[in-house]
Amino acid sequence: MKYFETLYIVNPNFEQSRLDTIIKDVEKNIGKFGNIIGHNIWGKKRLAYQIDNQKYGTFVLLYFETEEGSGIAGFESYMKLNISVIRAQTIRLKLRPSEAVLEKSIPSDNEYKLRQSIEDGGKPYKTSKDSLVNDESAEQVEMENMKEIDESEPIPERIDTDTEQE
Amino acid sequence: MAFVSKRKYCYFKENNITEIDYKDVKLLRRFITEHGKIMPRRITGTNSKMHRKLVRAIKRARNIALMPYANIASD
Repeated sequence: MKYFETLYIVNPNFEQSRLDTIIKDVEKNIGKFGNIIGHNIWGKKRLAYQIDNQKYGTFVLLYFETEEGSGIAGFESYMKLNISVIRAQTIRLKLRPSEAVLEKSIPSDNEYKLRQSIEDGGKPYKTSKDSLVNDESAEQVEMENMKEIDESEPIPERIDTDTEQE
Repeated sequence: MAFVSKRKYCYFKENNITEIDYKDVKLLRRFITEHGKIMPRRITGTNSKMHRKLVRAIKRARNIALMPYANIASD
């Protein structure tokens, strides 16, 4: 058995229902050649750089297993051609993902957070603080880290003292 | 005056980390400069085996937009 992990970014402007259909389509595509182990919606996050003029993206993490790795190329091309998916990356895992990872990958954990962020329309930081979800996982820490980068101090301009004196 | 160098050590060996996950951005951020470049092994002190794994993880994180390719370009 071979184990794989796919992290893909969906357009952040989509509603919950549309996101669900995309996830179902992806699951259907994998069903042709393998089995799904877990699906985890991370929610709306700021991208490190713009992709297709999008500053934010809805991250979805997917674990699946196959008997043979033959269907992976087809799946990757499907993800690339899918317009709703901004970017996707599939990685081979050495071992089956542990139970702790799978427990975290229940979509209902983040459903509230995700819905809230979409309703607010591009304010993920507010939702991460205000959301009633008491899951203080690494996601929030990451979110804060991202914020720190944005607020990093600008590079001070160099002033030539010689020219000023003249 | 004698130059006292700070002792370099492999972060992963000290903490018994054998595998690096590209999703662990908090960890990876330790090993990049403020411009987003990967720091050389001679500065971080990471052993060569873990440095290769680290580089792979950072490049994967960059591909999926968890980490920047360059910080200047994004501003």
